[in-house]
Amino acid sequence: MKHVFRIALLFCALPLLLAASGDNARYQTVGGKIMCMCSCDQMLLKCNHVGCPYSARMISQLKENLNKSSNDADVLNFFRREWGVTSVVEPSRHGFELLAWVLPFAGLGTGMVLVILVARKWKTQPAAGAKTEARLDPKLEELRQRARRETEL
Amino acid sequence: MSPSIQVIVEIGCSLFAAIALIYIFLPGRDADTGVTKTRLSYLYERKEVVYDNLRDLNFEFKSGKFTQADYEGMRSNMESEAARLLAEIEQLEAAKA
Amino acid sequence: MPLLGSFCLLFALALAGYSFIAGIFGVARKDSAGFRLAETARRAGIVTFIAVTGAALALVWAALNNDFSLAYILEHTNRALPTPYKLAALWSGQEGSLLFWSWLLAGYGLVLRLRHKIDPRLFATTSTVLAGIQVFFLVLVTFVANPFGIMGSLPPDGNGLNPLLQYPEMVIHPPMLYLGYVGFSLPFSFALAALIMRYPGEKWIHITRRWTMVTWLFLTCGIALGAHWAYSVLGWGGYWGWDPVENASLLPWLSGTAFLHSVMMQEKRGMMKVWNVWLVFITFMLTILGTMLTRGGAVQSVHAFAQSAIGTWFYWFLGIIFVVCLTAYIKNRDHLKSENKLESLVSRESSFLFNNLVLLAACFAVLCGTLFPILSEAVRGYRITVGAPFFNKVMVPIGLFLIFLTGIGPLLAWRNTSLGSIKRNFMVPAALAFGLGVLLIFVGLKPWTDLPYFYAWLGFLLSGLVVTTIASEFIRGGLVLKTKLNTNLAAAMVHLTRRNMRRYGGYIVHVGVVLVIIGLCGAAFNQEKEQEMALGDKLQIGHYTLVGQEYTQDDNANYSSEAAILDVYKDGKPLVRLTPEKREFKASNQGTTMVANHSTLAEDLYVIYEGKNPDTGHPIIKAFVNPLVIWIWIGVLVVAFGTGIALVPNAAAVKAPVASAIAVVAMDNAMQPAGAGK
Repeated sequence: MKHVFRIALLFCALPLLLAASGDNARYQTVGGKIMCMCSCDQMLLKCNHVGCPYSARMISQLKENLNKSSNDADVLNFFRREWGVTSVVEPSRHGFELLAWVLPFAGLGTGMVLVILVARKWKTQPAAGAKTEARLDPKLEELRQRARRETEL
Repeated sequence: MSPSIQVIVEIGCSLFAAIALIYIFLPGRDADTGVTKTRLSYLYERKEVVYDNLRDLNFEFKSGKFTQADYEGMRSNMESEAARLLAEIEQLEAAKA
Repeated sequence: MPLLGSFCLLFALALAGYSFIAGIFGVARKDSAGFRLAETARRAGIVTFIAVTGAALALVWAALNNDFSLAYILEHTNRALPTPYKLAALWSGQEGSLLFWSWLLAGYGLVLRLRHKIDPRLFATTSTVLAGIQVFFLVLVTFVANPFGIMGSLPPDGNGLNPLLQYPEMVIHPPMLYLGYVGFSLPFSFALAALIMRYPGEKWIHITRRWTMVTWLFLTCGIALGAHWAYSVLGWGGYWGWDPVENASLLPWLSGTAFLHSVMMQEKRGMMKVWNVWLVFITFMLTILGTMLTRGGAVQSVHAFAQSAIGTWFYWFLGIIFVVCLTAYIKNRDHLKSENKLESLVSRESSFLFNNLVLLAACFAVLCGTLFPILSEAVRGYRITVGAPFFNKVMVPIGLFLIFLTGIGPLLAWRNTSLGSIKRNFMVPAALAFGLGVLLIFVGLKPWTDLPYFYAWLGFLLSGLVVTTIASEFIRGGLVLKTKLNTNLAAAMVHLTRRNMRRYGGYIVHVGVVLVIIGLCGAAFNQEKEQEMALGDKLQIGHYTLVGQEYTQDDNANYSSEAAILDVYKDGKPLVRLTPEKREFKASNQGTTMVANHSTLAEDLYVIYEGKNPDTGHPIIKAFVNPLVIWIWIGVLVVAFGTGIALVPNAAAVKAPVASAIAVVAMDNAMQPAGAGK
């Protein structure tokens, strides 16, 4: 019963529960959106470049900003200001960059609506019509019987 | 590249070009234009597909995938399609004979 | 050799040009003189292959013989380079890879032209379209990126091959990927040819489907090998970084997958003809777009050959293709009328429609993310970076929806499915999948604690749904045949597969995809740890303890290396000895990581040697525990196996082949089917 309750809770309160993830998870999540600027082309927390001149400084800035602000967007904005927009590998959620987030789902949504509209337009009731047509024409009924005979398992 | 190798390469290239041109512009007798696709051959092709669909439907029904009502509705539908094709095939075959 | 190579290229260009022009005139004239002309075009196409092969061999010979008088060989090889990697030089640079591309295209053309008797007129038109594509690539190789450019002086040694490419998989990954990319030229050529000649019936799509499956298989293997290479060589612990070049390979894969599904609607029901033709067109254009983006330097990538001069050629080529496709479509669109209509939203047809929609939405999302930096630069004046976090957030929900559709699709009937039939088919798989979800919570997966955990849980649950629906398809069908043939269930299921290789092969492909998904879900539980390790120091990660036993150095003509010898204990018991290594290549002064990976069905222990801390002189070791990764590679093998099965003709068809009298298409419109058949 306890587990059933947990599953129900999962669907109802997922956003609240997600907010409760630990500090390390937050460090990993936000750090996973920042690129190391040493031109190694790796994420900040993945940079395995020994003697990297940037990653240590950037990681300490990340830790400092995570402590300072509870809002992840503020931390990312700090890096955008300090290291340039290319340091954050995720578009922001406002202004022009919001478009990057909206476009894929808008495409899916528009496609979905179009498919449903087209399908509705296509939808016909041929089964009843076909039966009537066959009944009206004895020749066609005979050929239907032939098709049935020839395709029986 | 030494001059002798260069001459060999040049001769080889010329030979290759000559053989290629002969092959291209002197086609053998197998230049086959194939058979013309007729309305009848198309109908036979289509009939095979509709028959396959019917066989699939029968098999899926036997495997218990559909209710009796669903099966009968779909079968009737497909059989009508097959009947129309067969009627046209018969008509064209008769005209041909 | 430069002389031979240059001659072969020029001659190949002349032949391809002739094949294209004579082909156009040949197929336009519908008399025997036209056919004879088309025959010379076909033969010119065959000789094109021999000529391009000559050019490719000349380049390989130059690489094997250290002919540094060629700028390309100087740039991409050196004397100490092992022989297999010298062969790989053919595709390791811009010029060579374009030559390789031309060679593969000519190879595909050869197979097509040798099989022309299947349908001479359709194949003649297809061959002409293909010759047009061949001309473009040969123009590029001959005049824009010629690999036979000669150096003014003769340097003693070359600059060497990019160290990242000096890995066994790299010898097969690019050819596979190129076979996939180039292969899409064939379905495209068939589709355009069938549209231009108003080919009646669906025979062309039957031929195209097989070519597409082969191409799709190559592309799948190419992408998977690339992922495996990234995992084994790049040393960041992952296999997919959403790099623009990776995305470029994924785009045609997604649209090609959509085509392989929607093509069934056309074959079975004569529906979605416009959609299918455009899917093939789009897939081919995406291969060109991907090439253009990465080779033109439009997007930043670790793979990109940043040379903008060649990009312009691709822009023009893409533009011309689009105009040709659009013109052919507008002129012949009445030929693509559907023979049937959708009868219900709850049917196999609509599940294919939604499947196509989701695959194309995924394709669009990847394209948006890849192109957004360019768009941002054009609109806002600065280029932002769109990386893995964006793609993961967008693509994971779309991917999960796609798996859901994969699960329910086979349960629906063609034309119409009632609620009663759905209940009958859906209840058991849904209950089993739900049971799996609950079981996972019992064994400790807590999907409510983090979004990646929730996605992983949902991924496992939906994978369960797909596997149970596929199993039910095999078992139900097997039970019918078991009674009929009086045999056991396993033999009946084998017989069932042999009766319909395509369908059941397709189900096996779906099982492979599910295995890949299971492997991807494992990423939610990855762990990593980095530590400086002096001799005897311990690094603890998950159940594993790594102990530094020895640190070594080595040196050979090609590279110098440093390695760590680490003893690994699992739960205190000795398990294995791992040797992660770092190499520094002499010719290029570049380094690579040689990952040490202990892989099991449950998880990978992935260890890299990062180098020495310059202050302490102690090596830095980074270890990852990546659960379920091996399932990705197993899944890809199953996908390849399933595709192979789907390509084999049905047992019944082998016994009684349908008479294929249809060879040449009558262009007389009076013979065209009225309505149906158009």
